[in-house]
Amino acid sequence: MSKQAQATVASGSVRSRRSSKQLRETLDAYSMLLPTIIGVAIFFAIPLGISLYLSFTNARLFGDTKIIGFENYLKALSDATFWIALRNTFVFSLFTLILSTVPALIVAILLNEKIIGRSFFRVLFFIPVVASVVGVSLLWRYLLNLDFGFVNYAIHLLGFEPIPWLTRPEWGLASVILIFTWKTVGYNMVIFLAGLQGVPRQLYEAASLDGASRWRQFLNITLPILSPTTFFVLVTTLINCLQIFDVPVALGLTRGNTVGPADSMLTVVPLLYREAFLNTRMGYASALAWILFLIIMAISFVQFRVSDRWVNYE
Amino acid sequence: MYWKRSLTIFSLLMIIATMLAACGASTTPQGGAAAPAAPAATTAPAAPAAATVRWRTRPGDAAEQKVYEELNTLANDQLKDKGISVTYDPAPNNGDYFTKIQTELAAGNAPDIFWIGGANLADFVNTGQILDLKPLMDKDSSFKIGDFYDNVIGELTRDGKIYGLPRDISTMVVYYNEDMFKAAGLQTPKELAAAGNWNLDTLLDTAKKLTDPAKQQYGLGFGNWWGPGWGYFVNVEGGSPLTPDRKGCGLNTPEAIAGAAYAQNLYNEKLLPAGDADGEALFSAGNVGMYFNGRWFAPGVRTNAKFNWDVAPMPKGKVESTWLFWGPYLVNAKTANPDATWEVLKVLTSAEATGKVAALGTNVPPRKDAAAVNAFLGATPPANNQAYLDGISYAALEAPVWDGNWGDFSGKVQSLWDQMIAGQITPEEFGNQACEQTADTFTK
Repeated sequence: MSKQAQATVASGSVRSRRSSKQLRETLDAYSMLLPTIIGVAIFFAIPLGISLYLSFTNARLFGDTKIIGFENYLKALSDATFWIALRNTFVFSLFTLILSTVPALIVAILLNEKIIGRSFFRVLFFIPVVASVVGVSLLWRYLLNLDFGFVNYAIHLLGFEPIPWLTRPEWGLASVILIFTWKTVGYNMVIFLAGLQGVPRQLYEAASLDGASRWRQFLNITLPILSPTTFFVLVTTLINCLQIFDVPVALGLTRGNTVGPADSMLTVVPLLYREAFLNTRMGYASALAWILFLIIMAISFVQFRVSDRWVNYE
Repeated sequence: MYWKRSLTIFSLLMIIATMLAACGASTTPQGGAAAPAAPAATTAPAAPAAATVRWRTRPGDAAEQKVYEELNTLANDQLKDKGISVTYDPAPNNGDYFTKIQTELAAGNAPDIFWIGGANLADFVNTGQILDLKPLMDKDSSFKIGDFYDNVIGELTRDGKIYGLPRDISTMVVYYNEDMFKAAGLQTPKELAAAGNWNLDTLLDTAKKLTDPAKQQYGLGFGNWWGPGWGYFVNVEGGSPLTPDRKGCGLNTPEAIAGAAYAQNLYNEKLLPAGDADGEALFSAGNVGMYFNGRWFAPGVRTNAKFNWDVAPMPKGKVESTWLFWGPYLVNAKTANPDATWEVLKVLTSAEATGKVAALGTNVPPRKDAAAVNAFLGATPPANNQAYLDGISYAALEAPVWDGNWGDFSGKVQSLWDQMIAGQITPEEFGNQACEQTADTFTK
């Protein structure tokens, strides 16, 4: 056998050995992934498919189900309650987004400095994040009560009129914004803190040698380097806001099935819960869920496109 | 290599085990599934159980749950010889009670007997989930349907079929703080009623005199929902939330709008605490003079109120009016043994059992026979228990909407009512918009 032929045989057996090894490794990998794949299929993909199907039917909890095309989607567009819920969701999201990111950044910067009791304050701001939503919402119901709530007592001591937080339609959504913001600031603060730890010290040193003020340093060093973190915080907070459910329901669901006085705390997800489980209109509720999904996807898409202009990845 | 393969096998086994466990859950026998939910449930000890019957209510607190556990013991004692074993399976008192039952009915593991609110009847019967009891009644000579209030049985009857037996009824009355009336030197609602002078005018007058913002004292209070709220005020002025055939909205009539206007004025004058449930606590704390509520409010007031109190009939408007709230036990159409379930249902709605529940103070018995009525009248305070019974003759019944969706209707009306009592829309706008926006809740 010539040297060349020997080499060919050798490489051929190597290749076949390699491919059988590859196959085994692939199988091994899939067997490891299988639990997750099955989990995702059973608990996510299949229900997702069913809900898409239901959104085109008149399904209730019981009885015959028949396909009705886009009727549920058209009904949503002409449903005054849906528009109220959508408006409430956007107003809520806008205010919460601003109120839970800007203060979180400020607090994170303060708690990134070497101040006394730094760990204590970090924990203090994070506690609301850990607390159960339903628990704190019930607690806030007492705090915000018009007649015996502590918040109004404090307002009274300051010499102002008590605020009907939970009993007047014009204040309902403000209460939800207040509580959700209080719960979210701590989480966003921790993310910002992590981002701040990643800013190289030497940049500040170089900047101060060049005579840059603290404010200049913040604008030209901190903010640009923090921009991926800021982007993450904005995207996740906004998605959480658009999907808000627990606070309005725990705070405002009444015996009359309204969410807050005159449905003032009604956002899209509580509405779809009400339609599905209180009015047993599964088909219509599924359609609402898909409309919300499309809205969130569209907004996230815009956020990602716009992010190219202001987010700097190192 | 070896550990890797065994890991693969192990993970595959885990997956299969998980899937088998998931499948197994649906075939778990009913009794087994119920056991963890009812730790205190009692089952017949000795006799060979030929049939097991599971039943459910929604106790409001531990004391009420205990009474139902006693009823369970009673049923087991009485039915031991017939080989029937009875299990009480209470469900938590939250907004999801009906959702839970409907989900269980859909999944095929609902209790054999369960309590619901009267207004929810149509949702259950319309979908074929409920057993017609008429054949069982007809062949049982010991059973007398005439012992129950006719108007309630009337609501349970449809096309000659009877879909349940009432567990309890309750009219709405005025709870009042006697000490507060004495301090203000005013006639109590009971005294005004006795003098034939208890009406919407004297209610307004009394509420104004008792209200004192400086002392955080309100003359009046009631929960902000259809019962004491829009339902009562619309009815008492001669209107009705629904049309007489119950197939449409009746809130845009002049009578209904007059009722709404009266209520709006109460809020404008700040004679009552705003909010839904908070008023109950304020009444028990002594900050509210009069409070509209059903019988279920009595045990809490007994426990919490540190003042003398009593009840009186609801004030009269153009007509006499109150609500008759009621709730039946229904039998699951899929019950394994209808005859055994019927025996249990008879015990649960017997004079002895309903008397026991009434003595607890939460309900009025659904029966007219003396044993049950006397047990109720003896459950004091309040001294004037008769007030609950007097309303039965003229009360409007909480009733199912057979050709529509009551939950959806009342939710939409409530939202507009909230706007009206906040002064954002007028009573006319409330009535008209309510009927416009709820039109589609009546078409199926």
